[in-house]
Amino acid sequence: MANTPWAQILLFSIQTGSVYLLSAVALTLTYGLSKFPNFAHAEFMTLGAYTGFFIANLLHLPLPLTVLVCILCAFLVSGSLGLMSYKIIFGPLLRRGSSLIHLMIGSMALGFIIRYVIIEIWPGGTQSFTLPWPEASNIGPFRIYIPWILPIAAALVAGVSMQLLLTRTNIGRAIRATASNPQLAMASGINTGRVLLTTWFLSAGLAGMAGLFIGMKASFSPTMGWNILLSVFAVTVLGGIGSFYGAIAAAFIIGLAENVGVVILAQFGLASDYRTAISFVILIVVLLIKPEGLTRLFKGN
Amino acid sequence: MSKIDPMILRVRDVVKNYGGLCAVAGASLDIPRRTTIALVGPNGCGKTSLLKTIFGLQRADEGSIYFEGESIDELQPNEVFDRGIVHAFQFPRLFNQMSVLDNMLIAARGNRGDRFAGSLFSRKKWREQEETMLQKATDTLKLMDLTRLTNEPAGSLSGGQKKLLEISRAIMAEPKLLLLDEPAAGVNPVLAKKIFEKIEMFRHGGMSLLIIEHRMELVMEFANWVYVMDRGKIVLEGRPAEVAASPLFYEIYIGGEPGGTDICVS
Amino acid sequence: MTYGLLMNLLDMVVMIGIYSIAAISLNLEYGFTGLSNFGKVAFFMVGAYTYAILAQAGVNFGVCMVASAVSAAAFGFLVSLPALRLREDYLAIVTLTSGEILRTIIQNQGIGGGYNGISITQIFHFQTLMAIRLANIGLAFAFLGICFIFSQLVANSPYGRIMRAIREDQTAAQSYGKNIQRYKSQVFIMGSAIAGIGGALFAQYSAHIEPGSFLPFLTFTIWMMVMLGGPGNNLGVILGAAVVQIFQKSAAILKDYVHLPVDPINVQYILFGILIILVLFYRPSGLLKESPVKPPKLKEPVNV
Repeated sequence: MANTPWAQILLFSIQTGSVYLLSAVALTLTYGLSKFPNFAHAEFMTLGAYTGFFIANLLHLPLPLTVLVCILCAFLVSGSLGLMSYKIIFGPLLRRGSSLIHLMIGSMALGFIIRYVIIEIWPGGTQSFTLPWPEASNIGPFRIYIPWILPIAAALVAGVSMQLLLTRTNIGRAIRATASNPQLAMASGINTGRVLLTTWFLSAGLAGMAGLFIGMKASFSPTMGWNILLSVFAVTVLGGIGSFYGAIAAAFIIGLAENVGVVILAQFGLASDYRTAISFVILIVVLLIKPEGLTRLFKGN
Repeated sequence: MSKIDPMILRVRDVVKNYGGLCAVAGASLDIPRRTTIALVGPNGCGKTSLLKTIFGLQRADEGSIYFEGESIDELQPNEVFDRGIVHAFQFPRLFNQMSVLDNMLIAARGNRGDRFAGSLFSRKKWREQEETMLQKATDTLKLMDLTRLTNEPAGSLSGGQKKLLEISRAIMAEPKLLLLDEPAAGVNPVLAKKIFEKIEMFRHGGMSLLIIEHRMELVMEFANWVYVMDRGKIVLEGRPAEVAASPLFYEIYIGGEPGGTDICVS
Repeated sequence: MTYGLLMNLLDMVVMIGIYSIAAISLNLEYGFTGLSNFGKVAFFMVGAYTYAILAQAGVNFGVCMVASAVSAAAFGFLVSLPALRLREDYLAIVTLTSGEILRTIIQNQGIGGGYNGISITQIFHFQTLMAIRLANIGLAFAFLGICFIFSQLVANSPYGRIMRAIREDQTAAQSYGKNIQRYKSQVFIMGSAIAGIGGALFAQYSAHIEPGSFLPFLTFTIWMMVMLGGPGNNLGVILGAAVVQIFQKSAAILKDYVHLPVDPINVQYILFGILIILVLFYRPSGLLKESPVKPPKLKEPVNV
């Protein structure tokens, strides 16, 4: 293990963590407010990648501008779909008092609908972006390639803006109030219906961004979101459901565990496919020992 | 061999905290066999919490609980049930999609068909058992005026009927000690009285009762002994008439600081 | 053309039998007991691989079947240890994940041929395809019959009443002396064993299985059968299995015989999704309502 490029692994861990951060902060928002794990979150991510892919092929702009437009479109398209799915499916189901299992099944059904619509539009499996990224270069111990750095920057921006949104704005305060006590929030004049629509829009939009960055990094397929959904669930549970800071911390813990874990597993001749197994083990251990996750560490939520 | 404990239940210095809030702060009480004990006190004084702790629905942080002389602190609710304590919930927790009759039969003890192997291989035996249980269930339902709802789903019952079924179900389980959490809350005074009279009818089997109740007229009429709880502690005990006459009781219950009784954890 | 269509039809009937077994197994877990097993495909897969590996080693059919049920049950027990203490949503995530991890292990550790899968000699060696299919129909429905009767006996007993009680309110069931962990674990083991039988029959009939045959969509398909047919009703879930299978096979046949601008398989998945959402909205109890536990007859009539 002497020649293991630990610096690079650290960079990759931060990058994986950043993607998980975007996706898990998003998932934990709806999970915390609507009280069920949204399995269609996977497809919100996939849709982000395909939207970006579609836009990138359409536009012939300078690279930074293309990337920016891609991010914006991924956010808006996935976000709108999230908003619509709450408006049309989950909102009415929640109002009918559907059971937790029904909501989970419903979200899975929605996921399959989105996935196969994507497959119908973009048949042929794996796709990849053909953006003219600058060559990878070495800076100190790190090898830097723009698509690796993008999610880190985006996570930073998104994390800070979410923090500002949740603490400084009215809608943010309304979201937090609704999360901690919906009845009280409604009684104190908060339009909880609008709050939920906003969170679903934000959540799906961030998921779309996360998906876009995964897609830009390498190739992607219609099952892309599904393949990382389990890790995202692990992050959400480890962070404590509904906990913003918890999700941030957990994203980097799981990102690090997966990247380091894969290196260690390789020493035993095990394939990198076991990456998800690492987060799975963490997930089980957390659920058994500390089902509330890291929430206690972050009382300020 | 220890001699038979004259007290069916002994609670010693039980403490229960929720986070930083102290719900039960060292409560002790004794329940002699075949008596009805009332537990009274302002909202949020820890009564329900104490009851849940006795039944094993939550663990006490400190203190000990003995049932018929044996410690039951570490037991799960189903094990506490097996010892002979039954807990009727404050807000009925019925099996809503199941019939009223099924709700009753669930509570019956010792059904061979409750076990996996028994359900398949002792069919004759459990069918016989169920006949006896059915008889008891219908008798109980009759006394509670629920006969005509026997085959209705429990979820379709009215609030008062649900309350009656919750209590019938508890009685079906033939408790040695029945824990009742506000059996008369949320029902009109006439029905409340009726509920207490029904419970009294079943007491001839020799069961003991621990009842949380707010209405003093009911407590006065039915309880043998009263414990008054305030801020997690037992502050007063005595015969109903003595307690009702006590100035301390007045202060806690009716007087106190204005609004002070409502702002509490429950 | 007609012969091909007839063969497709027979194939569909076999698959209805096999999927009905899987649906009955999920019905025990979800329909009666309220357990959200989102990893049904894993137990199906354990049964299938056990059967395939043993059958290839020349083990006799009966032993293969028993071994499949037992190994699936053992896997069920293993998963139940951490999983059943959890809330419904966590249970769903954990079971789903364990299925995915199991598939990863089979792929990467070369179990049963790894990615390439494993071929199985069928037990029926008749001259015509029709005879083989008919024999398979007999076999699948014989096992379906056994599983159905077993499930009915368990569900319509005091034990079944407790299963329903756990589904309705765990705390209340526990407060009435039921050791809910034990019940949930037993039901999970039963459900897994039945799923294992279904998987074994699937392997026997398919003659070739690979990890790609056991994707999470299969779990979703089985859920759809149960949700559509009627959770808590064993006949209902068989009906559900039939409806879903007819739907799936029609799409496959359509793809073979008719040229459409869209891929009917994709459209079928999309329609499945829409259908299940419609069921959740308008028919959450499924096509057939749950049948109550039959109470024993009263000796004297109840006076109303």
